[in-house]
Amino acid sequence: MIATQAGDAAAYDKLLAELLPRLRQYIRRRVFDVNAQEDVVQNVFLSLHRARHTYRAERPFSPWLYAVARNAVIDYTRSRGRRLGRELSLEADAGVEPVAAPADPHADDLAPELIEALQALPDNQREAVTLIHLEGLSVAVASERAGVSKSALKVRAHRGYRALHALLEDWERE
Amino acid sequence: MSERGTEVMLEGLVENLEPVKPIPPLRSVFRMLALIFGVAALVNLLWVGRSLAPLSAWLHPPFWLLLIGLGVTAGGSMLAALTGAIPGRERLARMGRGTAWAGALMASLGGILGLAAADPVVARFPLGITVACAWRACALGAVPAAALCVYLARAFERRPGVAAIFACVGAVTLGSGLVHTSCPSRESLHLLLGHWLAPLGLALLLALPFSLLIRRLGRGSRAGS
Repeated sequence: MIATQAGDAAAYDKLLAELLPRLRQYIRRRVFDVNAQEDVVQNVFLSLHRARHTYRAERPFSPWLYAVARNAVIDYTRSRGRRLGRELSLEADAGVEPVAAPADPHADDLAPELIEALQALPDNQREAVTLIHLEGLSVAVASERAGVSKSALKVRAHRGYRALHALLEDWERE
Repeated sequence: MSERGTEVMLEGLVENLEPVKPIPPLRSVFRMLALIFGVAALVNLLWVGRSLAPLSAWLHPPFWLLLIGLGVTAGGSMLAALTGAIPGRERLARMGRGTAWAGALMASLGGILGLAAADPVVARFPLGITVACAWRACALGAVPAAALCVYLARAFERRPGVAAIFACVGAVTLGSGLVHTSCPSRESLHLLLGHWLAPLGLALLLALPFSLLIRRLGRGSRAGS
């Protein structure tokens, strides 16, 4: 972790690879919605990346790591509760007209907030997120389809995912 | 989202890795805050001269109870604000919140007991000096509160509103503690309102812009990570 804070990409790669099975196991024990588990795992890693400067070498690593993971689970539980509450109140309100169907082909499977957030992204980031995260294509296939290099696509997907996360967070706060 | 998506995202994180500077340890943050409050105390001294609360006030237990309550609230609130922004320090944050509530209870009790033991005071209630004391407490706490909020934005604050409330209440009540020891008035109603309730209200108002500050600065630093 200390090497990671200094910008050592190889050490970071190794650390993330070591943490991935541990965190997946941790999340699977706490998040029972199978469809949401991988989302929460990704949120944990994004939080871990954004909070990496808060780790101090003189403190043990595990409590820090699991606090980040626990917070991601709490955030997920809260947002799920709010979403369920909204859905229930919409169902109860029979007079509400459904929102116009979005143009996205995956729209049927996605939450309305996610569709709206996706549409707020720049075109190239939306494309990258859709190809990799929603369609689950390999980077090689996705980059061929988008007509850009693999690393450019990865960066776009990462930025897009981060922007999506920030947008959804902002809306939740509002 | 798929497991492949996670793996791609992790590759993206590694490719976008930039060096970061670890946040300073809590010990040095508290040292810095003590320094800022030292300067604030000096400013307070220059502001009001070398005045001290009258001896009769110091001999009155509710005066002490209010003073200790202010100190405990300040310490607990600042501890809660600072540790709440660092993953893995939740136990300390909980302790800080509990201490802050206990301090608030003590301060309220001190004010109420003082009021109960006093002569009829409402007729002699000095409104001007009460407003002045509340503002002075707020002014003394504003700079340390700002410093705390900058630290919170740099750390990993997930609830900026709550953190700003604890930071502002902590800093302003400590400022109010300074005011309490140097205020010449010993009117019980003034002590309760001007040294406790009004500064508390001002701290809550101050928390609003500071929560926006934490959000704005935090977003800026996140964009860079």
